[in-house]
Amino acid sequence: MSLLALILGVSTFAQESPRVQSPMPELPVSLPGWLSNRGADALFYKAAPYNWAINRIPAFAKDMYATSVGHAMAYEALVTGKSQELESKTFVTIDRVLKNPPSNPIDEAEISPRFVQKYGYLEKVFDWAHTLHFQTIDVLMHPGWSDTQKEAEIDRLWAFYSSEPYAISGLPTNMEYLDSFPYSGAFRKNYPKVNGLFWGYHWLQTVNYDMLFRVPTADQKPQYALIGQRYHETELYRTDRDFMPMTAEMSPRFARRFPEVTNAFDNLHMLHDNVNDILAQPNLSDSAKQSQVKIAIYRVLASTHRGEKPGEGEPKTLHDHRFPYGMPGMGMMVGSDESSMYMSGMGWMDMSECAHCSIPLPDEGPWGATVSAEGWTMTVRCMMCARDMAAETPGRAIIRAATEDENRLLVMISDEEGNWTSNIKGIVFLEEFGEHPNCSLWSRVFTSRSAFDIFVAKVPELKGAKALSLDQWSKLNYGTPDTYRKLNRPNPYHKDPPIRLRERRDE
Amino acid sequence: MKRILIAILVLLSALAFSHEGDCPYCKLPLVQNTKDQDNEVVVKFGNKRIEYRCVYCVFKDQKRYKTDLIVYAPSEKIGEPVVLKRTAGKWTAPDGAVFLNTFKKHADCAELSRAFSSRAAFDKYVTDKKLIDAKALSLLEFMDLVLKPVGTDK
Amino acid sequence: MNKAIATTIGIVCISIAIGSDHNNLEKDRPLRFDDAYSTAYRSFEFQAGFGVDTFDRSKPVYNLQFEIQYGFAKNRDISIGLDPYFTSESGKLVGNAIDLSYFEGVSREIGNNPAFGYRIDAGIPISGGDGAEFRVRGILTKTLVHYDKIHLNIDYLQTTSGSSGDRKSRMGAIIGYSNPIGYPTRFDRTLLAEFGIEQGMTTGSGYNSWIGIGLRNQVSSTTVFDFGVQADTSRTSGEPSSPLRISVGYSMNF
Repeated sequence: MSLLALILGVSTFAQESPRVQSPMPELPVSLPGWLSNRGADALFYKAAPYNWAINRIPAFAKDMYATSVGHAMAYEALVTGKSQELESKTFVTIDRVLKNPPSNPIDEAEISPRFVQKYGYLEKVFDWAHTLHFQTIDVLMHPGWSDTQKEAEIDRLWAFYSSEPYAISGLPTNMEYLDSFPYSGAFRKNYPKVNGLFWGYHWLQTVNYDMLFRVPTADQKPQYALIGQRYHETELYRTDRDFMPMTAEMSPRFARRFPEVTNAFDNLHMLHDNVNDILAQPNLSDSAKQSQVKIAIYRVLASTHRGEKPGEGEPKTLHDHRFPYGMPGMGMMVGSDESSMYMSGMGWMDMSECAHCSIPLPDEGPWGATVSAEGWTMTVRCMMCARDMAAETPGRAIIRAATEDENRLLVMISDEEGNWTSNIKGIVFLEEFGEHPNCSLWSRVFTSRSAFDIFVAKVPELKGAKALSLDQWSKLNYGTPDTYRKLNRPNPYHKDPPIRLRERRDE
Repeated sequence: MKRILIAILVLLSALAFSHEGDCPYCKLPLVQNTKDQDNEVVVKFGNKRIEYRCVYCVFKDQKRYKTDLIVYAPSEKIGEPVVLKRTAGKWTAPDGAVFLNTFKKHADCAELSRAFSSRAAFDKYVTDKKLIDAKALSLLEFMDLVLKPVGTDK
Repeated sequence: MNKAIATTIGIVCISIAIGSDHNNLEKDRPLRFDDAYSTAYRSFEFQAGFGVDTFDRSKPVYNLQFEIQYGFAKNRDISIGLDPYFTSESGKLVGNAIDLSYFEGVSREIGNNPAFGYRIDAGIPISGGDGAEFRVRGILTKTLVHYDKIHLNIDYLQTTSGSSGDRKSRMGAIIGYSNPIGYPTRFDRTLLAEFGIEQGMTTGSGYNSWIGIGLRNQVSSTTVFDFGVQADTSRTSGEPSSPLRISVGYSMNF
């Protein structure tokens, strides 16, 4: 190998592969027959004792009910020739509802009658997917059921949901492809404030799952105090997002366990974005819009991808079902590959690594922790990484961590100064600082002193380790680890992305 | 061959990933300490330890923090930051501390928005960096400059 | 009949029930007209109502209504109900009937075309009367200005009882109107109004007519309360006129 090739082989300047640009889609040879059904086809949800458990956290329930309003009002404005009011009057109206959310769920069809007259078939897909959203939340919030029961019920709910022809696919889909059409991006470009509201409540709809999943019901509400505040003060009004929030970004633990449900939600939100963009096109006739909306539905339906499998498919096409390594609950994103993806606000990440120390996440044993702060959620290897990552981030934070008891999840919430409260009384920490590749061994949390003693006794190199209280542990800080590696690549969503480094991952 | 390998290693290290995050205010990458100069600006309060790119960014972003703050602003001396404190909303600095703030683009803020333990240190820095029209600012003057409405931020 | 027992218990255990909707308009909840949409597939709905028909102010007639409705297929539901009547004079039950009903929503509103549905009802007396009464109702629902809707119900009624001077079959029609109140700040109430006409019971008699106004109010995720007032505007001779009919009701799904 020549010297030049050797040098360039480790730091090759590769031209950024251009973003996929797909032509205007054409109607498929055969659309599902139900698209032409004239009936209203209203479906009731699975009768069960957990339904409406969301009302156990009234503020959360009301905020979720209010999310029915935004798209419906915007779509109604778009089909009644009021697009020029979207960023002014419609935005104010939607915002007022979000600030004063209703106590009861809203029937979207009743607040968008002209839209439903034209796109009633689309509303069936939305309604059925929204039902899945609410029922999965209800299951997770139901008191008196074990985590095993809840998980089994969510699996049953997925089967129930999938039994209807309106079901959206649970396969990961290529988001770059789905956002590549001539109309793509029109809505967020022309109506950034209203789009900001939509992506803001997509943030809420996605972030809530890790707030609930395997979390004791008594520990769910305190988290919402922080999440709800963030939602209302910041997330609803962000206009700087590069892409819609993805469920696995916001709720990685839930996504790992329920990839199909997670993918269905992302595909649903992408369908919303496609419809926003189509309806915002001034140069498409009504019948052309109808066709494009039907095509957009077709793209994400489960029936369209019947027999296909996650991990397979031709890249950057409709049937591309690849996913980032270890994340079957997420499709490929703009510029991403199986080992890295760009997360808006965080930059390029390798989701198989600790977000704080860049060491790969453990495959076995307690899985570490997640840290939620500043609107993001990251997975880390150990308690030290969790604490220090939260400590270097302004604002309040939530840590959800594995303990020695797989049925007891630790939930800690910090104030603005990094003072932590814990849902488990008497927790004990182990932190015998050593090499970062082993941090998941020497940095842990236990539900009791006896559990700590049992563990330490089994590991010779931890002999003499000191048990730390929450207060003692909170005051430690080791800063950013030496092993941390930030992937310095340009933002792939920015126009004309410059040359992208193809970088080595090892040194 | 040995020289070639060394050259490769040098090149590699130049291209190596810097282990850094982004400034919470200006969103540009944090500048890490080098062997010749400290660059990390650290804000401490409670159990939090937040890094900023420069002193300007700290003062611009301070409104988000409601409590007392301690700021370790890198000075001309390695390992000896100028310690600024905000107590009950009032800022103080050590006697003799002097500030520089002349950047036009935020990409230059780490170099051009700094604290010094003395006027002499400031003058040496300005001379070494060949900075023109650099004015030594007291803490109050620095705050006035930074917090005035409508700056040339980025 | 476990579900029927559960229904009864459910009256006092509201928290286990699931979404009734103030926008879905059902006959007698609180006015007489229907909209053209069935209840959702797989949903049960329990309805209960109390009505006062003033007729003669000193001798009003009270009636209770209980109904269970089930969406057994997409766009179709069936229901069974009880309709006991009491007079204030005796305080006793003077009549009771079982109501059976089948509804089909044929088509939703598409473009400028109204939604269309139909209902077939059978009222079978248990006491206080003889002969059954049947009704076939055609229903059209159309969005009017924006959120409000107009509903046209055309009824054909057939009775198996009555004396020789009574009509065995009658026609009727109702124009109903519904409008959600409070949009876009509140989304939990619907105002209703109706004007109805119906052929008199006696052969050769003219038409009875009435007007009504009512409100449906969503009080929880699961429950709707309704209130309605109706007044006869004309009655054929021989039929008692009711200057005021009041009804209150309650619906919940499960």
